[in-house]
Amino acid sequence: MRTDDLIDALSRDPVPVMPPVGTLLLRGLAVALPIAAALMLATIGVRDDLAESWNDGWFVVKLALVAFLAVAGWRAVRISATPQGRAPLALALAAGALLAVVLAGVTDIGMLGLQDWRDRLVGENAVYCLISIPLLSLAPLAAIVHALRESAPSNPTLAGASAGLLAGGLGAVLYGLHCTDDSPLFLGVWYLSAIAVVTLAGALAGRRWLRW
Amino acid sequence: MAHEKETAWKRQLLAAVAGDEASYRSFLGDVAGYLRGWAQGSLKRAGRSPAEAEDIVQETLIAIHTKRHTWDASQPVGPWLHGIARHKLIDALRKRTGHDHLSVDDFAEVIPAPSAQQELAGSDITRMIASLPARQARIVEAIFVDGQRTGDVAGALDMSEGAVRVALHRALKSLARTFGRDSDDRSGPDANR
Repeated sequence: MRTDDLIDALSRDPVPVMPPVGTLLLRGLAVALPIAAALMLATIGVRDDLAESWNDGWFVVKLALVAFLAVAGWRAVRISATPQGRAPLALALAAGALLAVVLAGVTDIGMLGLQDWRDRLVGENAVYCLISIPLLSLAPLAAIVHALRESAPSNPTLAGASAGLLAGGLGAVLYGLHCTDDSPLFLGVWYLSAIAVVTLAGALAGRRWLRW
Repeated sequence: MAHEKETAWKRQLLAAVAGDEASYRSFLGDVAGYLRGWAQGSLKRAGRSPAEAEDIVQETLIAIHTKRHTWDASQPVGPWLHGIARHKLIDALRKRTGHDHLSVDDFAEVIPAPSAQQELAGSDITRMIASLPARQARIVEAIFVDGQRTGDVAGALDMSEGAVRVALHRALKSLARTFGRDSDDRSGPDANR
């Protein structure tokens, strides 16, 4: 095949109009998030004291931290899903968000001391948390990876991991509305572990489905 | 990336996105020259035969085409092109050697290379097309030999246009591989690594 023939054929080949990847991502999430929310409401439900919880500083901090992880995941997805995407920037974002959560856990120990740390660490729902967050993240992860198949990530594994961080963060926000363990220590250990599982699943999915 | 090059590519690509075939053709042609010079330089520095460059040029052109919607008009064209080309070069080397350690030239230092080595005798093309699965061969023949459009081919073969494009894409890739082997044979025993 001559390259000139290839160019000729490509230039005559109509490119279907395709929305930008960001739009595809938002569309996917617009479908997946209600599914995940419905799954949460239909199974574990929100915590009984949700209405009063918004006045509780720890509860709000917990939700803000996991939402921050999701935002970092979103930025990392947007960076790593382009051909010119700079991997170090995406990694730095994710690392910064994780560090914030770890710091919150350390602050928890610093402020409240080591008394009762076992209670705050193990809480009520440790195993529940580890299982529920990945399950609630499944639909968002599938939607994000599906949308990213139209992208051209410079590093497919990293793009998948970023998708996992975003999906895990979203799943954790939903789970946070159910979970009554609000201590940053619990957050730093169990929520982070659960989000790490989703991130790993995303990395594997990226390796498998985001190559181009 | 020289500034005037960036400006010209951006203008051509914007016109192409708006449906201007001629602009798209000259864009791809111009980019192909740069890619060729860049791929030859990168391959040489990786201690590999520059004869493989044309495969990489063709694979990169196909990727530019199939991923055209990932170019954001508010972003410069050069880094986007370079990202795609780099991805395809690393991919090609990994497939052949199992490792991807190489330093990649920046586009900025590249001198475009003319397409001197890319010509093949007509019988070679025919033989390569014949080695494809039957349906892919019909699609490639219709598009490259008869100059039909993918939409027409889809109608004739009772396939969706998307399926034709996927089949064409696969066919192009296997043709590129066949071509790579052939050009290695020609450039002497040294080239078969």
